[in-house]
Amino acid sequence: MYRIALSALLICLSGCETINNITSTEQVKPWQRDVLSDDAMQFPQDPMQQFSDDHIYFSKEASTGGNGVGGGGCGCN
Amino acid sequence: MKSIRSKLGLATCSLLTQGASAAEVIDNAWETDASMMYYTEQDRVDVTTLIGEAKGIVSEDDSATLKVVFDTMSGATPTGAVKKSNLTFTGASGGTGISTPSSSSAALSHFDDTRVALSLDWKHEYNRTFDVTYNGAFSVENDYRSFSAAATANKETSDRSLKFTLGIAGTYDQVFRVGGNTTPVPLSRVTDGLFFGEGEKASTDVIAGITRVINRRTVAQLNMGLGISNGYLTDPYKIFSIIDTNGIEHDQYYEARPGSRIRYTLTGDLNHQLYPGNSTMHLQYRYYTDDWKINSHTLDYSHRFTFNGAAYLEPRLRLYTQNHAYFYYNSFYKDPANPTPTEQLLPEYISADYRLDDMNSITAGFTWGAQVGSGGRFRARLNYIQQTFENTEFDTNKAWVVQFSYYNRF
Repeated sequence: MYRIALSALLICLSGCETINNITSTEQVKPWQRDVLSDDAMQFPQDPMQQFSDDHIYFSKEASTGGNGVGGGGCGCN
Repeated sequence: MKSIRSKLGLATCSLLTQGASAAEVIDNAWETDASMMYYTEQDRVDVTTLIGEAKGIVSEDDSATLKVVFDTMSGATPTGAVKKSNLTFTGASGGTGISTPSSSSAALSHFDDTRVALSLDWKHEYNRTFDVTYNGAFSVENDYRSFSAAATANKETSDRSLKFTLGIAGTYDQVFRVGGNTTPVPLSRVTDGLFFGEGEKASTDVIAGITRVINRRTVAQLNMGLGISNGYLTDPYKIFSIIDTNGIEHDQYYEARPGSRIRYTLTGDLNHQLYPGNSTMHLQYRYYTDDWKINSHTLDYSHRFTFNGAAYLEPRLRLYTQNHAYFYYNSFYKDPANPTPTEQLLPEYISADYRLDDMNSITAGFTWGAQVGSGGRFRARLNYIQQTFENTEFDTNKAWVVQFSYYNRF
């Protein structure tokens, strides 16, 4: 019981810390952009997978768009 | 003091020299990305997609990206007809590309199709903080042709903490059935075989976005999208059943959709690298609404765990929900004894396309990525998609996606 409570507390604290880290704004200098230049920090993270996903969901759902414009359509079944 | 000054001068020269050398390397860089994706639905559609992309630096301010896509599609797709039928004819035939076995109901149609698409991006940097990407693309398949042109402008603030994006695209599509360059007359009886020529539609899409660097480990993006389509928005293969009180089909008609559609999207993205920096979270939410009364919510979360800076594992969960279009009906009821012509009873628009039904969808999977050599990157991913529908004849659709991609920088 103690371990469960401790784990829950740690998860909550970790969540609070993450939210705090996300929302705290700071001026980022050019030499501090190492993390921001990482592939994982780009929109989209992986253009190839994003392109493939857009193609799949365009064919299978009624909603489309939101990730950019252009590239052509298809009459997918 | 003189010695320190001299060392600092030497260090500065050294840094400048390294910068110039790095710039030369970038100027000569070529990038390629190739991918093979296999999409398979349980008892339904199989798609194999090959994608090749090459990006090259054309001049100091220009780069070009050429993308080629080749799709092969086959299998069975729902037509919109109900499963229980007393019809003896074959309904939703689409010529050589689509056929319905006469021994089974017309609820599923078999098809084979191939698609080739070509896209060219040309990016020009007008200055350090302003660039525009121009795009031209076309796509051809057995029953569809699409041509599009687009331009997307990005403007950053001088400290690069904010980026504004504005994009506009125009698309012209031609729609027709395999074998005849025709489209069925909307709301006409399938057995009457009434056809028009090919259908045409024109679309304009606009997107406006803002990207904000929040801190060293967090970046967020907000995009607003508007899409307007006019013309033939009906699916030339989709039909719906006329049913009796027992839900048994006694006739079939071609569907009809409105000739215009206005779509709005609001999309928020967030990337955050967790401290001490071995994992990155990505969260996306999209709200979609259109004048076909479809509203949807999409939540997409992935978390990239990086190992030794050279490989990563990225689990992913995507949740999607939509409500049905205002003209969606699973079927249309009419008493076979009713002498009134069916055409006089039908609403102005009606479709039984399962994609316009109430739907919930979940995608779960992961990507494995690994660095190869100094400029290569391999990715493999496996995703499982399960769609559940409220009213349509096939209440679920289950699919697997397997994709292998390889990126290289020369």
